Amino acid sequence: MHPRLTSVCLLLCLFCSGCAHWQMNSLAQDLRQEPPQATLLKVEELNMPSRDKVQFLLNRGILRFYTNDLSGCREDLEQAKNLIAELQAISISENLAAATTNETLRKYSGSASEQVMVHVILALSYLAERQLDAARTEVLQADVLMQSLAEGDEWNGQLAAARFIGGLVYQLGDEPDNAMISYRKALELLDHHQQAIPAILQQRLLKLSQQLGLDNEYAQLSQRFQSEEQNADSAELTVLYLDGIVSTKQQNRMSIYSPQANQMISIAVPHFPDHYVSPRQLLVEVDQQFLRSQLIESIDARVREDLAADMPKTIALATTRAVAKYQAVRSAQQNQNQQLAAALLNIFTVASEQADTRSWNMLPANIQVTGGPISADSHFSIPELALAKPSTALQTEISELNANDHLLVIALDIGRQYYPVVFSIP
Amino acid sequence: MTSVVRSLTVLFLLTTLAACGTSVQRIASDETVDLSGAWNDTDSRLVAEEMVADALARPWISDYSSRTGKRPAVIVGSVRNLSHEHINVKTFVADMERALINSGRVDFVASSTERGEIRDERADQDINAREDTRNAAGQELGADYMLQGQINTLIDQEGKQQVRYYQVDLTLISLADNRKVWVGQKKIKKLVKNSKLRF
Repeated sequence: MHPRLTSVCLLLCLFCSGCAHWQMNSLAQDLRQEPPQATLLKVEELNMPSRDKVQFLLNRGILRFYTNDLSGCREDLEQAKNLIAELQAISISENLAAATTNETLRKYSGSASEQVMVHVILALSYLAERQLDAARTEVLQADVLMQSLAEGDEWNGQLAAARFIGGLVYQLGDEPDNAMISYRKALELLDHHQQAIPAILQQRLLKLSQQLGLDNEYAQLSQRFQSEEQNADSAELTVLYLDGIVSTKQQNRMSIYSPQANQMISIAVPHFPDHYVSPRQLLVEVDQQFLRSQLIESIDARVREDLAADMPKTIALATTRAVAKYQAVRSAQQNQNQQLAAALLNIFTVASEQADTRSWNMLPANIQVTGGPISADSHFSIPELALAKPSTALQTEISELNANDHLLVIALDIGRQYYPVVFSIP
Repeated sequence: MTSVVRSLTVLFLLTTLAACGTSVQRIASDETVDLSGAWNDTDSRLVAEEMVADALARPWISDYSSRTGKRPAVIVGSVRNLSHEHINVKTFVADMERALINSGRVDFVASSTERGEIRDERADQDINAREDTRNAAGQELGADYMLQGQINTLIDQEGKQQVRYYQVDLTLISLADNRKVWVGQKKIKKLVKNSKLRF
């Protein structure tokens, strides 16, 4: 093929794949303003290259979760999960492409936290339909994944929200010992991030440590939280609130001095905007008292940490690639008969230097929790969300709550709705 | 040199294109094909075969038959999946039902999820069907035993290698006095090595 035509074709390919990333990132920004149903329709119309299949499935899956298509959500996230597992093997062709062109030619497989969030969202989708055993399977899979991610760095991919939801699933399945272990791990992670411990987690730890006869641990927790187990014989309420949209990666160009090239070279790396997405609390009304949701996980912070952990490797790869491209251009320029090829190669090396800004950018920015005792004659509502007045069906279910029952409410900022489910603890 | 490079490129493209097409090969339903290491039809079949053989060989059937003069009636209760994978337990439970019914030594009655539709049809017959063809309510065969069970797993992994241990436990419990008359167990262990490289 003619060198000029080859270069033009390559540039067009790169341009088209860049278009798809830009469109997906743009739709993630639009999700803050427009209904998720509209965003879902636009995502389904995108023509994504196969290497971005996982990103497409993750975003479509979470949009289906926001729009009450739970089986569709599970279908997409299960497919994404299988693809991610396949992509863990090192690819020879992708490494070659990334070394010569840019990182966007690798198949996207999600960051550590994103991979754990696949299991978290799947667990929530099962809980929303009262499929407790299936949710438990996802909790187990998340546990195995977090164990493997921690092999290199003990905090890599560890999510307090995943542990909290795991504890909740075990509690709903009458497995207090496993629930206690999960809640303990959630506490450990929150302490590592120097984050305040939500009141609902404090209550659960106190209740379970007392129930399991862990007297020393109960005393330590009671002293730390300045609280004691109330021993109330009533049903329990847990509200999980998925707030906001996570930040979207952007491209940042940097100049780095290369000793090999003996000059400054330009590389493109991904970065997140400086401002974090601030959590907005949810108010839940129970018997005319308001409970405020409290932060259990800042997913925005976790994905930023994932990027920061990868940054040294990303910069090293980008620098090596930029030096190789620079030297190829210099070599072509030194040949008098290849000036046109050298010029085209120069254009290609500059245009092809794109940062990999792909991410699961329609995830919620943070997960918040609240809860407490609730009884059969309680009045419950979440004024801000779609159902300003509780539905008749929901109030009927609440009126039939027994002492050991558990009302779980999964509330969504995007879509402004909630999934209420009653579990009867055996 | 250039012609060698061109030839290799053409060969590479042809190989890649050949791998792009879809091919379908029909295989026997009892042929073992392990693709990902996850629970599959072979595992389900192995569990059903072992459980059926064990259940038919134990004395609970003959004990019941000699005591009452009839075949025991079994109802399928909850068989829980407590494993690391989404496993459809209905496949091996259905295989067990079929084998035990076809042995002529055990009766199965509809489970709580199955009989709702049957009772609705019976109620409809009570109103709409001819009197001599109606199936009256209150004539169901009561179960003598309930089949319950669970699947558990243990996972051990390091790097690209994983050992998966599955344990399937099934129990027959007397509805008269809660006695466990039969306990079946099947263990399956797999070593899964994931690929370190891909093209």
